[in-house]
Amino acid sequence: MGNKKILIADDIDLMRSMLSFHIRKLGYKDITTARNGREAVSLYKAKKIDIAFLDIDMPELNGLEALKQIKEHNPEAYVVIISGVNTLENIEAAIASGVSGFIVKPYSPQKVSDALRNYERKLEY
Amino acid sequence: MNKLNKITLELEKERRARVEAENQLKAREKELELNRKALKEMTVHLDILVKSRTVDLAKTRDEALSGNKAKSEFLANMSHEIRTPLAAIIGFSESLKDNYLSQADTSEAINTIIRNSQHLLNIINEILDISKIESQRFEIENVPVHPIEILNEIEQIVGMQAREKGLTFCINYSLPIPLGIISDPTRLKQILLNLCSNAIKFTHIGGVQIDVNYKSEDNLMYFAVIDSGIGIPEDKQNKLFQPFYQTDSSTTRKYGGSGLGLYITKKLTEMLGGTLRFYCVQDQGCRFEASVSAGELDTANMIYNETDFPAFQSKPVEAVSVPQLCGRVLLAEDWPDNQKLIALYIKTTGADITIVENGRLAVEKALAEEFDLVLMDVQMPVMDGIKATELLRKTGYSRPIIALTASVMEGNVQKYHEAGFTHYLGKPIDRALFFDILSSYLNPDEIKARREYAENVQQSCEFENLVADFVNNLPSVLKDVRDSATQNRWNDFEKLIHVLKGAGGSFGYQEITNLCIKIETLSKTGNNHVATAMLHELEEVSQSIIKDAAI
Repeated sequence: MGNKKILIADDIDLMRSMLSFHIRKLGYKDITTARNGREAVSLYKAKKIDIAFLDIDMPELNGLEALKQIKEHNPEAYVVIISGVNTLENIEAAIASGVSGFIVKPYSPQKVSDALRNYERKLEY
Repeated sequence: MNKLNKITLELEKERRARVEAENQLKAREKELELNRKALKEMTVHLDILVKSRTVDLAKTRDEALSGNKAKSEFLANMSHEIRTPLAAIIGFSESLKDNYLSQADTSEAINTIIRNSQHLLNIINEILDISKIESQRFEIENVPVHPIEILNEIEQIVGMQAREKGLTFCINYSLPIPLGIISDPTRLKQILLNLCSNAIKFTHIGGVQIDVNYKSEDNLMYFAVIDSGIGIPEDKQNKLFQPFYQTDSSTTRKYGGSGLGLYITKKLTEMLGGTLRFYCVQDQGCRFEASVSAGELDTANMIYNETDFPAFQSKPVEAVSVPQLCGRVLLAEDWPDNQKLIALYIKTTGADITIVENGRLAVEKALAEEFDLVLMDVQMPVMDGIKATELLRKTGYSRPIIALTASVMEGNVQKYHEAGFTHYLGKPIDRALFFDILSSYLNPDEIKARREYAENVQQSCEFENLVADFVNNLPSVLKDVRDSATQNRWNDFEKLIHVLKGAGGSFGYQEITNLCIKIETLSKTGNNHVATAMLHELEEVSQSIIKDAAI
């Protein structure tokens, strides 16, 4: 767990800190952060990220666009989209772009740990 | 002379030519005659063919018509059959609304409603059986079965029905019989129950008995159900096993039943490797003999003496016990009555329930909140349960999702698993089964562990520091919101409210999130003034949060 590389992209500082805190609580230590989609894509490519958490609503490049670019770079990429809106249209758009997890804000310990547990479970298969 | 010779030769030549022509003509005539004969034969053949085809067609048409007629009659009977119990259910339910019913009348009314509902369910199950038989999707089990145990159970059910009607009921064993056979216990029981309930239905005086024996020559178990009832008229006997058939439609009216029972019973005995025979005399009673294959027998295990009968525990009718549970259940169900019923069941266990009425809302709700279990109706408007479950699984949703479905045919069950359902429950919901499934998926230890983890995280020092940052930042965020509203910068306003909506609950202030949801909706629908008015509330809530944090 501890050696998995995690990327968090969100333009709101406090939200980034909160997600990072939840992830660290679960035993993950290697966490990289980005402030927009463009930064997220280049950090993903440069750092061989295992799991990326992308906020859907970011400046420069939004979460879904960043997800698409990451998927183009690595079709196996494990990306969780974070959204403040839980409408079906959003969810379907994320699925169509190849999302692996979908968290609706507000954050809770449970939502974050479910997303990471799913990743670990997928590794076991 | 020469000239004469020449003429004679010419003549002779012409004569030969004529003979030749005549011969040719005769040959042609013969050929023609042959052709004509062949043609005639062919015409006759064609005629026969046309006639036989016409007969075939007429027969097919008649069969189709009579099949159609049987089906129409069946449908007419069916609607009558369904209406009758329904009328009782509706009538007695309505009478329950009246307050003047005595305690005894009330409980009688409830019993009648339950009995008629069960009867309705039986009819529908029979129709399902038929459709499975006709589409050859019936699965037969081959497991060890104790005939004596099955017959004990039959005696419990049928014996009571017989005694209620003032009839005798007994089972006679011709020993030796095998202790165990290899067969399908559910289907064997269904065969015997069908035959026995028919026997009781058509018997008014006397009784019903089952003769049981085993023949080693053909390795078959024989169960003969004998009654002293009204029998079956001879001219109706050959139609007895036709589906949708009853001796006459007045039978339905007088005795009830769908006319499917015997057809199903016959098919079932055949699937169990035996046959169903009968011998009836009008007004004297009937003998229906079902045989089923005994399978691979352990011949050492034969019972030669009645004292060797094993004692099988008779299964008492279990009272459904309600488990004590906790956790949050999301129910997606469009039918208000089903919503109420399932909500009632769940509330009695102590678990919490949230209800949505279609698949789309189920997806949105399941992702936005935290549930421990999802109950998903399969057929719903807007988005069905299968699509909703597929979508949830694609987003990585990992909680158990149980399908609630009226069609539990095999093909469908496969479909449910592929869609990502964890389990399925047939409708109408069997209360005992429902509680079983609920208990196994609402595991109190797991739920408690999840809750404890969440509490621990939120009580940690680091979390408190983050919350403090959030609270310290609140006044400036609120000022930005207020400024954007007074300066009519509505895009900025919406963005700020949206961020605050996601943040509030994340830092433990769900009340901020809830207020922001309201304000965001108002603003998005163009009600900026109402949205601005609600800012007061948001500011008040925030003030008290800031005040509390300062202490």
